Amino acid sequence: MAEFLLLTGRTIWQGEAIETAKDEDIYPKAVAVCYFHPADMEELGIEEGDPVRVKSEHGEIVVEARAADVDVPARGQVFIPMGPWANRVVDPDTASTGMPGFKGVKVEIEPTDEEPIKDMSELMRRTYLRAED
Amino acid sequence: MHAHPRHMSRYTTFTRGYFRPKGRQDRTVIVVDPRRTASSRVADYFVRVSPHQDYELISALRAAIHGVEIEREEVAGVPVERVYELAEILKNASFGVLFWGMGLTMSRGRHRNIDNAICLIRDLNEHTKWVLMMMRGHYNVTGFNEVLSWTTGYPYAVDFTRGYPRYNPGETSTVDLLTRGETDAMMAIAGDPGAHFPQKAVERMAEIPLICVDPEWTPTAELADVYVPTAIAGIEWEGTAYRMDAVPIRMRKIVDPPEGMLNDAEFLELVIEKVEEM
Repeated sequence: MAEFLLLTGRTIWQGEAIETAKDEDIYPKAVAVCYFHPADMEELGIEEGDPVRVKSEHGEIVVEARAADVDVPARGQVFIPMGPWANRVVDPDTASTGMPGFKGVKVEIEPTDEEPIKDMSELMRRTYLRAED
Repeated sequence: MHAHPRHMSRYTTFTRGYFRPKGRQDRTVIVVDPRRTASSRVADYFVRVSPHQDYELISALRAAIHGVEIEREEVAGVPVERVYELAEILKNASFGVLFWGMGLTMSRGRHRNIDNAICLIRDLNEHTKWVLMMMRGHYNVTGFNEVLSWTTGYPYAVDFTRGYPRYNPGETSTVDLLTRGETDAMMAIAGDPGAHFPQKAVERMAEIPLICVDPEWTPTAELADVYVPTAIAGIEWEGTAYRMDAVPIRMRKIVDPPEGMLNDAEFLELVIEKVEEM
């Protein structure tokens, strides 16, 4: 387990996915992922596509690890594109502005055997409606 | 480049104009970000700011512009010499624009970061011409803020419960109302809070009656008790959208919506009719 600072935000692929279809494969492929500095991945002993558990004091989520190539976070920072996956761990406190803490959230990350939920419908139903399937 | 793919090519960086005949070559681009982004790779200067320290960096730039000595080696992860170098570039521009991303409002400092950025622009205008513009998050959020501002005087988080508009972010803003559990019913129109609100707010949305009005099936629709599909504004129905610089653009209808599909306005009029009957 290692501590990171999580940033969330847009990527071009997230933008493409939300304008295409949020209930199709393209969406989780773009947003159920966590971008690392390649050296941080090596230190954690994980490879491209491995599932990782991201935990903050506000919640946790399992997503797929990716080595960042173009938009590279600094060492000790990770990036999850904005979406329902990232929002499981962001800070809901708005500091009286109406805007939650989407960036700079302290998280702990560990490799896991659990597979990420790769379907928007399933994620929403299982997490928020407590449905079995 | 990721959040606004057409911004650099169409509006700000590569475009040629009367005063900038060589386009990109005639401009200086500085990108400030905690990450080495695609935008930073086409910039002349990349400044890696430490997360949560935007306020400090803006303050340091203001100090440098005023010629004040900064008694530190680095500010927000940026060496002080670099801060002075940037301050000189900003002061010597003939017409500068500060485009700030939504991130400034999402980390420590929040609106105070913006306040400080506005002060920076005010300071720079003592030397040369500078303006600032926010890089909005979604299509036509500018339109929502504009219309709300000229109808109520406030840009968002407007509370009508007392019969007149009230604005107190933190108290009357959507995320706060939801996370405190004060809201007992919700209608989401052409927005997707299910995908873009933090977990605690979405948990509340799942508990209460939720109506989702949206042309597309979204995470909000997934949680909704009632889902109403509507025609897509600007494609299946004419309408007005505001550009990021607050210029309203009239959009023509280009294709017919599926038969019987209402647009948002028609749907809301029917709802109001029913409410008035009740």
